[in-house]
Amino acid sequence: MEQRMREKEEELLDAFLSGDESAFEELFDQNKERLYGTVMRIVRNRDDALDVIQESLIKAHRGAGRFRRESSFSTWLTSIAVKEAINRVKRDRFRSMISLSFFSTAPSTGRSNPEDDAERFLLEKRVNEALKYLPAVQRAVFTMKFYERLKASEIAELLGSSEGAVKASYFHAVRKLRKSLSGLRSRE
Amino acid sequence: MKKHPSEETLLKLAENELDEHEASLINEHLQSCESCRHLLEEYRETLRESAADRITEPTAAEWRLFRVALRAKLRATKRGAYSSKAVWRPRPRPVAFPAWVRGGVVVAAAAMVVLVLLYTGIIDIGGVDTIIRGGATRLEEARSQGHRYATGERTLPSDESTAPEERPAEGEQAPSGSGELLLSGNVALDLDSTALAVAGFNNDELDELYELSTNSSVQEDDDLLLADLNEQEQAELLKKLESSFSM
Repeated sequence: MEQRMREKEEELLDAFLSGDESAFEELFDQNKERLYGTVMRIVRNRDDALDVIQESLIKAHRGAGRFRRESSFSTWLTSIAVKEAINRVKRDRFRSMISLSFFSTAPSTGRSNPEDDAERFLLEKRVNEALKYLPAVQRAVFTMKFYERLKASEIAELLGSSEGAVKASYFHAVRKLRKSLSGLRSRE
Repeated sequence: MKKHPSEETLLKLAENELDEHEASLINEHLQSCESCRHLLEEYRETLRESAADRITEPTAAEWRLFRVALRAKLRATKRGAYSSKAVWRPRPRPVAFPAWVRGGVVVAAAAMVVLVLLYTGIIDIGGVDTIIRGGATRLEEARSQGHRYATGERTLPSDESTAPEERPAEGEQAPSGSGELLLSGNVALDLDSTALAVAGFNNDELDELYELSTNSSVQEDDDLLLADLNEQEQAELLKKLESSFSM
């Protein structure tokens, strides 16, 4: 299955490099949900996430000819997007600390019990705030390992880092989350 | 195992990433160590809570919009007109006023400047004094009715001071006193209330200017209640007030 997807990607990439613009859009279509999920969890804001994806696609579009195909196209595209997202968080650190609202992530829907809703609301708010306290790289590593279930070696490849550094970064991220969540819980 | 395990090891235990042997050693320690049990539970709780983070995917319509913006930007990139400023979402357009409104604003501003210049004597055109005289006449009417802006000695210039025949000749010093509005003893405006109204001051601002120039407060609308009543009505109102206080 994975091999077949990889072959399909290769075909699309060849088509795009031969001048077929629609092949590039199809490549994006195959990755957009996963890409959005990863980027959104790093930048924690819908508009920023879409901006970051757009910038990443433009970079991929311009750099596709130089892509050496040592990894899959989707890995390469994700790598560009994650680095772009990290840069965005670093750049907008102070602005985002102030302006990002809890509603940058999804509010609860489809629940009929108001008590459950309130509890869920508080929980999501708490987690969102705690995640926003994380430095950009730790947030990216936590996102990819915890939510995307990527291996440390895969994350290291995406970030151009070492496996040991990724593991250490992940541990520091969870430890910070533990402290933040504990503090936020006690404030409620 | 007597030594406390590291936090990293406890996290791995919480994530079931330890092999069987390591896990059994840690569990043995946990049976006798309250603080490590507490820490392990905190890590488990952190992972449980973190899983609650959810994101909302863009709708199909939003993706379509995104795609349109992306195509436009990619075309711009090819033309070399690429800007790093993202354009995936539509930018709000500035409000476009019709030409007659824009023209009207310019004309009104120009008229204001001309009037102020004329009134302060910087420029002089025959016939405009008639307009000013009109304002002065209305001022006189207001004064005869006891309007507060028309009766203050220091706040209003006399008609004569604005009349053309009373103006100082070119090069002469303007007479001080009756024609000046003194503000806090430092600023003097050579304008009367008509001119102030022409200059765009509303009633509240005129009140403020009056207070500043006279160090007195302006009578509020509520204070005028009794004045608006005739003698019988005043007596009735006072009677009601007295009875309410005595209760």
